This record gives sequence, structure tokens and C-alpha cells, in this order.
Amino acid sequence: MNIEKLCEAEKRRMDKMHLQLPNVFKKIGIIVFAVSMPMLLSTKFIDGETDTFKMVLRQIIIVSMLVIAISKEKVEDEMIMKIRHRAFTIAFIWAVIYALIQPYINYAVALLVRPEKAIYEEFGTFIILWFMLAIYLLYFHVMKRMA
Amino acid sequence: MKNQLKIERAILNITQDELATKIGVSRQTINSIEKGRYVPSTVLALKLSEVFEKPVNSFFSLDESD
Repeated sequence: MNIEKLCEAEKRRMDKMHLQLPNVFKKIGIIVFAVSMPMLLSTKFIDGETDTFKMVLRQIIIVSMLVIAISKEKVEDEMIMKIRHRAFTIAFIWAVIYALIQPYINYAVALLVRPEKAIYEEFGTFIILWFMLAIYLLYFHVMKRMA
Repeated sequence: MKNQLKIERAILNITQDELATKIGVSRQTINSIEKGRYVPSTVLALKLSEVFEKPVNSFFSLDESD
């Protein structure tokens, strides 16, 4: 098989791939997110060892947001696909900018407020993924309403 | 891109919802096309042409900005 045929076969395989879930998963994702997000916030008020619990909740939140993001609309037509594509692009760009710039902003603010405790810290995976998915869902929702 | 989708739909006396069902899109998509906020793909334009039984360029035309 020459390289052209290989590329053609790969393209056909990619075209057939549907990385989307049925519409019903959107509701499941929203319910899971609505339950786990307050639980994560409430761990701030719980005394004792909550690190493992927090870690599991964070992972559940990311998975639930991903499920919402990749679930189909009731009518998944070409306009929705275009909005989806645009929202993914915007979310990806903003997430990269946020991950690069925000640690410097935090450091600069800490230098102004508490110079003795100011340290440069990069964000963890959860914050970046949460930010990217939140931006995607927000943009998608707003653009769908405005369409 | 200008379009006369609303006029063509009125000639056939069908609602946005009925037209959307015929070509397999949402009512919101038809509304966006009519308002000029969304330019449909060639496939969708040809499906509309089939419903209206008219060539695509009889209800879609280029604007000065295109």
C-alpha cells in the first residue's frame, strides 16, 4: 500500500469516527455536575482529611463537563456543528492564554499584597481543563442562543 | 449572501418547522438562514433547491460584501 492510499484510508476512517454521545447523556452530565460541584465547594468547610475525596470529585466534574460538551443536541445539524467547532477553537485558545498568563498575574498580585509569601506557581491539570471546558460550554450556549 | 427563503416558503405555504423537518435541520437553522445570520453549505442549499423545485441561485444571491 503506497502512502497516498494509506492517507486516503486514514481519512475515510476519521470521517467515520463519531466522537459524540446521544442527547440523553447531556442531562446525565448536567445532573452529575450539579451534584458534584456543590460537594467539592462544601469540602472547604469540612474538617479532616479530604484530599482523596476532593481529587475524585474533581475528576467526576471534568468527566461530567466533557460528557455535556460532547453530547449531541436534539437536532445536531450543520449550524450546530459550526457553532461547536468555533466554541472549541475559542476555548482552546483561551485555555492556552490562561495557562500561560494567569500564573504571572497571580504572582504579580501576590507581590503587591504579600511580597514575603509571593511564589510563582503553575496551574494544575484540573484548573486548566475546568477553564477550557467552562469556556467551551459558555461560548457554545451563548452562540447557540444568538444564532 | 442575500436570500429569498422566506418568500419561497410563503409560496409553498409551509412553516419554518415544516421546512426544517423536510431537509433535516432545526427550526433555528432555518430562521438563521432567513435572517442572513447563517450561510448554509452546498448540500443544504441543494436540499432547499429540491424542496422549492428551483435552482439554488434563484433564491440565493451574492451580496456586495461577498
